[in-house]
Amino acid sequence: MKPEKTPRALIFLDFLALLALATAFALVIFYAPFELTMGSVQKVFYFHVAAGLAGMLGFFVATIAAVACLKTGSLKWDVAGLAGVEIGMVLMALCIVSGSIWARPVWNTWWTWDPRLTTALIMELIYAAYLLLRSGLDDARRRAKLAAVYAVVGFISVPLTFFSIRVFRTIHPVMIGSADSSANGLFAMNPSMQTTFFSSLAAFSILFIALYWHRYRLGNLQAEINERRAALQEEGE
Amino acid sequence: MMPDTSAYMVAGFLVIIGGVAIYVLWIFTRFINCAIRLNALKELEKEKKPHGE
Amino acid sequence: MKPFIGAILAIFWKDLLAERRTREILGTMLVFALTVILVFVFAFDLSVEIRRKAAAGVIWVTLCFAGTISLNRSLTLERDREAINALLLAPVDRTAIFFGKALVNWVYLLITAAIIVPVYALLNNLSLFSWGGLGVILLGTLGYILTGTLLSTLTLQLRARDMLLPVLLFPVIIPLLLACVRASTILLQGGNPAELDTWLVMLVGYDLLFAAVGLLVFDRIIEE
Repeated sequence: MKPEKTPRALIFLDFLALLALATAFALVIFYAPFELTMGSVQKVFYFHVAAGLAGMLGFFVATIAAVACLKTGSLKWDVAGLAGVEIGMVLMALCIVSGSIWARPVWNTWWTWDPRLTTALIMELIYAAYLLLRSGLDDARRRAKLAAVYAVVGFISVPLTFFSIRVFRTIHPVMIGSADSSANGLFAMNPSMQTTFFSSLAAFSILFIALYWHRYRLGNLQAEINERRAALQEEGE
Repeated sequence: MMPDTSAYMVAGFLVIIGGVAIYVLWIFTRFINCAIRLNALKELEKEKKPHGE
Repeated sequence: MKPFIGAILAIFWKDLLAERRTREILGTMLVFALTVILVFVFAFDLSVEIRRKAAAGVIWVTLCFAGTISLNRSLTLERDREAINALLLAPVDRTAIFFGKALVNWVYLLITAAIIVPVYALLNNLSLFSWGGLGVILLGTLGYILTGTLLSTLTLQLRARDMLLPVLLFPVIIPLLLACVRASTILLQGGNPAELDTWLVMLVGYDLLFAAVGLLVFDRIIEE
């Protein structure tokens, strides 16, 4: 017996995410042109950036949920916040590792202390601390409140970290907005590259929504189990 | 001359797609575990009810 | 406004009085900070030139480590005999507790800084004093303490209290720490004055931001 039937829309979304990912992957492999100075490794860029942006979206959603949790005190927002943090951490970690793999042949190093890399790493640390904070608290209401405060504090410091490291020079290619043309590994996107890029972005956005919905349902299920167990224990006493 | 970096490309995609796949599996297993525990709790509740009242 | 400041000062004096009688926090901080400096000097076996260049980094890291001692202690202190309940019953705005505690911790950290900076200078035969450096220390420690007091109120309610504060605090204060170290380094070794201004503006912004966050959320997180 399933606790609650998976909604039709969610199953549809799962298939849509799979389809979109497969399409984007096919575009990356077969349609997108090769970049001449970097070779085929440049193709990782499409998924790398999409995963990073989707990860940021996760942290952003978590912050909004945290603010809502502090305002309303509803535990639903706590579940929503945790879902955002977890998915954000996973996607951001994948972004960091894939970026590292890209950097090895292009920058000739696995890692540099440039603003984006460093900020991404510090973000992982902040949200790891968020998870540790949660695991140290048993009372659901208090956990929701304290975790929400930390999520807000952490998210405030992220842009500050970014800009403070940016004051040092960066060698990371700036893809959107102004570009420092001396930056190593920079390339101009031609139209077919842009098509591939935006379809990857769309695929990861759909993937994010599907994952988020699943994680939110899981969180609710976990909350229900904890509630029922607490009620049973009280009865037993 | 285009440098041959295809091994890095394969590794990169393996990390991203594999990582997402592992995460999906992780959500799935946790969901199954939760469903099992929820059922066990419901059974317990049913057993307890007649005694409690 | 007046009773609010009165309440802040009352908490401040209460803690200073308790500290004067027990002498547990400041003494520990000082000994710990001096030990950390010694460890740094020996670990890197620094030459005079490197000691001069590393001065800002060593001093700020030492202050951060030492600061966690008073941040942890000044709030767990209230928990020991459930004094926190009495404190919460006081008919004042609870935010006053936040600023009172922050003020005490700030003073402790400034005293620590006032001792370890000359000691580092003396041991390494350097001249570290400058008015600008004083400003950086005042602003930097203030931001550190505001964030730290807020987060130590969070960890106060955790099972593994003292353990988690550095884990929660350090990633969040990295921009502050970076600004402090860079600004101090520029002051000590010379550098682009425009960059110095950027860091100072950043420090002031950070302090204001986290004072505002504390003001907004503190009364929600202090334990009932």
